[in-house]
Amino acid sequence: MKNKNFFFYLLFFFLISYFYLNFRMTSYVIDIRREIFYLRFFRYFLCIFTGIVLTTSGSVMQVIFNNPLVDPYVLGISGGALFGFTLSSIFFRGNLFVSLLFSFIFSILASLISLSFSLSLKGEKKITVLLSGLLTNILFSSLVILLSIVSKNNSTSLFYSMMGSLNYPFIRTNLNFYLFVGFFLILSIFLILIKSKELDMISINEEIAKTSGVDVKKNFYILLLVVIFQTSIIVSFTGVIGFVGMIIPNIIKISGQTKNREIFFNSIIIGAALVLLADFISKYSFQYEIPIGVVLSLFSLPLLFLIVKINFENL
Amino acid sequence: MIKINNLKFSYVGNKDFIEIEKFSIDGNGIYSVIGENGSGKTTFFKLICNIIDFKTGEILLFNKNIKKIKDLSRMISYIPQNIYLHHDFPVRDFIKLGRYSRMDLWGNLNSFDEKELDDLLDSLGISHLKNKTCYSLSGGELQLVQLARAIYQGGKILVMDEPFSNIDHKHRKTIVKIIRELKKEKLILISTHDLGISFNISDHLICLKNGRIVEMGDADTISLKLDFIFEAKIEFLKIDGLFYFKEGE
Amino acid sequence: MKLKNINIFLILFFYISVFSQRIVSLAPNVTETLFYLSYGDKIVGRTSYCDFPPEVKNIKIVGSFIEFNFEDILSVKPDIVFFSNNLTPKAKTFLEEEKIRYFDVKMENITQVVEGMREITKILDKDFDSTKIDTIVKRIDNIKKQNDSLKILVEVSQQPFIVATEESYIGSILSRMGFILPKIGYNEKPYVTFSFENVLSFKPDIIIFMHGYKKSKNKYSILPGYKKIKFIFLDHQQIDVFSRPGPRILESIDLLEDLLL
Repeated sequence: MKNKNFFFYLLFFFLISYFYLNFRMTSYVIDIRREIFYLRFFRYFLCIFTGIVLTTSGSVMQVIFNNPLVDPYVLGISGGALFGFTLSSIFFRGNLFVSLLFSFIFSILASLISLSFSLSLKGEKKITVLLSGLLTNILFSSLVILLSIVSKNNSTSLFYSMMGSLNYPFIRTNLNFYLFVGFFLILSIFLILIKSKELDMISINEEIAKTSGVDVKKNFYILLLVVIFQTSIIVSFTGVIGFVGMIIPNIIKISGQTKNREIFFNSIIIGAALVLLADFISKYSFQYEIPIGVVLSLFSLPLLFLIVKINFENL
Repeated sequence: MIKINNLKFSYVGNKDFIEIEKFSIDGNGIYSVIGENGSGKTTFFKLICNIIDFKTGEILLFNKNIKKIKDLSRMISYIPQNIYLHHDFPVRDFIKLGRYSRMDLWGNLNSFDEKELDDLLDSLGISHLKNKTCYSLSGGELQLVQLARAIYQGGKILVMDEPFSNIDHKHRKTIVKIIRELKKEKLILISTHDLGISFNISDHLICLKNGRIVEMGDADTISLKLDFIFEAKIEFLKIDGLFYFKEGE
Repeated sequence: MKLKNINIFLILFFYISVFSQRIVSLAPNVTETLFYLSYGDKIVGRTSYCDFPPEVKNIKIVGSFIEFNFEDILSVKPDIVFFSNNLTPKAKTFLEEEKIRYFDVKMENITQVVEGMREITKILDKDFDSTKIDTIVKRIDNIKKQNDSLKILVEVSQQPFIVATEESYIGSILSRMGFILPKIGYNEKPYVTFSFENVLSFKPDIIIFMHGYKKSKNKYSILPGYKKIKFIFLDHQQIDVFSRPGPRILESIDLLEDLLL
């Protein structure tokens, strides 16, 4: 039963990949097809990495916070990363490495702010985490807007970076750097995969996890750091894309998967496929591109409502 | 096996909640902790299992400081008061998690451990549950599964917080039977509100009151001081070495 | 900074005259200019906002004003891409990567319109006969003037409250006509956010609305000389003309002279 589902998802993924890479290709003149294919191929990988990172980091955070309604966006981590990225693109003229570093530093800062907010609030933890995330998000998004107004250079692309866009110009001379970043992303995903048994234990019962030899606190910080790392990289490439990381793991859980390793494998495939689909829609549904965040939010709103409803009934 | 010296613990912002000057138990057997609600039974257990951290005093297991033991999970296993899981999980995989410390990177155990697991399930009589998921089990079945996980984890000490609450008569009997079998090779710490069970199965009784150990001893000794411990009149009969407590008027 | 870049490119490409250039225009006013200078048949890509002249309909859309579809831009195989003040860092990286020449032609006030046109002709064809540009220059020189030094306020949008300054397209024409426009700060931006306190101290004699929201007139009723103020509402097409600094400058000057003199 479970394997059947997985193969269905895999089929879905390959189907979308095929369409994504080949759509309208024949309508282009032959001598530029190669150029366009390069462009598309890079964007295709960006989509896949975005999908994988968003969903895995979402499901990791849902476990370590014991809250099905969190993801890097909700907690304000993405907002901090975007602020760091904007800051570096103003002061360092978009140097790739510096921008990654800045977005990493500021997303750590954002998560610290968000965590300390939520720790200082008394009340139902599930809600205080969301509230403090909201505050952090407001803080950083207004800082981003302020920065782009002051610098006035970036104000046009601000809208797209706040709603997310995968329209990232690929530079061939930077290929090694992309591969380097991709390697680290794969490494971090691998780390999350091998941490799935710890996540299982933490998600079941923290006390049992502790007495079985899982260092809950250490794992919390390690995994949070990995999530922040992944998210900050993806945000500096695509801008802020919200809610995917929250919705997909929840859907997989509703569909009956309970072990974290299975949740990860499924959400990697579905996340990649869904981001590809959303990017496809955002690319071709109008004569010009619309931000992918808009597409995803619109389509996922009913699901989001459903998930919030289910989770607040259990609260 | 368990020794406590000058242990003091309080939750944030409160007065000292647990205060134990000297405490020591040794040898296999069943040790029941009794006391009123709020007397600190659960906190006491959590301290022994190193789930919550304390500042003053020390707890020694096998003469080693609990904070310095690296593989504590191989010495002590714990069943929490709330046996229900936050997330659904397959039964067999859940029991398997007991041997977390022996798992490889991908969470797999070697074939010897796997076989041991199946044998254990057989001997506990719950092998028919192994393909179900935890949410589909009854309270009694789930408690058995928790017990199986704790046994599978191994270790000489087994700590069970309220194992008999919310469990029907049939499963109670099964669990008591298993515990009686286990006490030959383990030190078992149990807390329970059911005086009948605790007096009849325990080798030793530990009485907690306001976070302090007020009495320790076997069932006969403690039975004479019950009124003092609970500050209420508790009547019981003793027939053929079994205690029967009178409940209700 | 941008202007410097353009100069470097100008030096580099000045002597290269390519006759069958494929042009992508990513700004509506540039599209209009290219058509006016009869380069229209060379345009192979435009934005979704480019809707004048009507011939543009057959040209492929490759983006909106701020976000461009890189695949589509590549697919029309352009030699030159024109922007007008909307060159994003992303687009810059992309075009440099693909080795496509691009120019960010600044065309905001009337002087820049003429300069921009000259620049475009230089880029595309150095032997261009400049009669068409001369017509515009002549018309600008012959703008009728009024001598009352009236104060004029051009309300670009109501919420947020934005007005045009002398640096803007419409403002530069109006100031040539002898009107006084509001001024804020040192570094002049074409459009600035305004507060009602600014309005009170500015005391406009004429107010032009560059948006369709007629009720925004009401807020000026607390001005001392409200009854004497002349209110002018532009229709949709006129707003289009005034928001695109380009060859329709002839039309806009005529229009403003009709409306105000």
